[in-house]
Amino acid sequence: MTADASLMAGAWVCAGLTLFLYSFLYRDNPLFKIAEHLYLGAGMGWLFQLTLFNVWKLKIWQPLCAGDLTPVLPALLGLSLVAQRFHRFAWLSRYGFAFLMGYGAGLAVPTAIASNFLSQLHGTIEPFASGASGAALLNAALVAFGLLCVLCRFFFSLGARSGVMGRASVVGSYVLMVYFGASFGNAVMGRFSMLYGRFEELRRYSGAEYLYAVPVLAAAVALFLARRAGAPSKKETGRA
Amino acid sequence: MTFKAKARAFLDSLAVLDRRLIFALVAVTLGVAVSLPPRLPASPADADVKKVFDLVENLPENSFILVSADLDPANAPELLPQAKAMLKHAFRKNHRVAVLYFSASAAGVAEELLRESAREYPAKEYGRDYVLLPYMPDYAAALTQMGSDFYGIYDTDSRGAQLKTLPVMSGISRLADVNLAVVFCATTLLDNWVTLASDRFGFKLAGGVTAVLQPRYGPYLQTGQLAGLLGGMKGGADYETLLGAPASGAAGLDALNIANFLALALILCANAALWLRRLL
Repeated sequence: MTADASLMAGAWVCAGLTLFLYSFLYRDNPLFKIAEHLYLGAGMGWLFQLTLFNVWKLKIWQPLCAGDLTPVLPALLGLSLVAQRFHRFAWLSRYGFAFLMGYGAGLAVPTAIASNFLSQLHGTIEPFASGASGAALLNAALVAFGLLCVLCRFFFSLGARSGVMGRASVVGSYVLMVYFGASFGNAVMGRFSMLYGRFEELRRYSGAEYLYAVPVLAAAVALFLARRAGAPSKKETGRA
Repeated sequence: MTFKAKARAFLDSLAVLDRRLIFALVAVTLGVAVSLPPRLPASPADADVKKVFDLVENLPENSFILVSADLDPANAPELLPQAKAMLKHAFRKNHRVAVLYFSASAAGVAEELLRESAREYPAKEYGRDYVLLPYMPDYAAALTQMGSDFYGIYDTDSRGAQLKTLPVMSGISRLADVNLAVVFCATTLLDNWVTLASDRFGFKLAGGVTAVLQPRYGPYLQTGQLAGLLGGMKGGADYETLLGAPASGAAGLDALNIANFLALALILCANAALWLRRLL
């Protein structure tokens, strides 16, 4: 039994675009370009309609139609940003940017100090003050030791590269390397997860239910790449 | 050509292995693992995943869980199993769920996530047990507003109904009323949930992030600013194991283990080749 028409079309488009994008692993080609441009175009179109119907219509148009003038000022500030594109009216955009910068800084600075500085400082000291024992104490000591060593690593004043500070900064480098190593290992795992997701989807669309979308399209892509590999390049044609 | 010269040539060829050969090897390995799932034995669940599970498990019935489902098709293989398992758990424990998202590309995935998770519990009703909130482009403004007045920013749900009037929202007027918030994202949005929302308004916050981001949240876990964390496909697989319902996360993890083993073997092979080349 085959899937209904919309599911079938979706499966063929999904499988086709996935294979087109992966064809780049062999070499750059027009199929990859088609998929790349479609991806960007569809993404922008999607964002535009979502903003239009979920933000502009709900938050600006409907309240204004109902006689509520609250959205006027925010909408004007938002519109002022567009003035940046017109040389004569570019000064208007300063109002919008000034509001954005002031609002952003006012929100970010106190919260960053409270959450990322004071809370972290408290979290490093707290296990010692609260009398933690065993593995918790060992963990806290390791964290505190690593923190101090990394701080030494980023202390560049005179004499910071000699004596105890110098040795601590070397340990700090190793602590950083462990962090970056863990991050890189996780990044590789993340990329494999993405690949797994695409393969899982391709497997789903390989069967008779979807009229063998993946084998058919894979064969077509391979044929196209093989023909291009055999054909003379533009450079060679020009030279002839 | 002497044996030594042949060995040198072979080792040199290993050092400049065509990257397309490596791609093909990874493709074949994952392709086989996807077609014939190896069903490896499950490892014990991570402590941070267990914390999230216990939080959902121990909440009193009819608690309100806010889920930020900022996942898109690209990161869905990692985040979708996590989010699905957590939502199923919430429905199983009869909690109320509201799903929101700040990423435009999450719109379709968030809707599908909620629909598919609720499908397994036919008694659950939209508006009474769960709700989907509309897209909001500015997370900073939304989180700040939700802290003082939830309905100041979300006056309607994604279907246009007045949010305040829906039974699922009863007793909820600001973020502090939320029993638990879980943020699934592949960006640093979770940082903003910590700094702009949970630290300021005081509610329990847990996260589900991609593997790349996982090490970044260690400090927040240590200080208790994050109550728990699900990281990458392993996080989803662990949650499914704890739930007693292995699904796509557990199956994916098996394939991932095999692919990781291949990567490890290639790294060891290349290093051994370089080392042997120096000896010859």
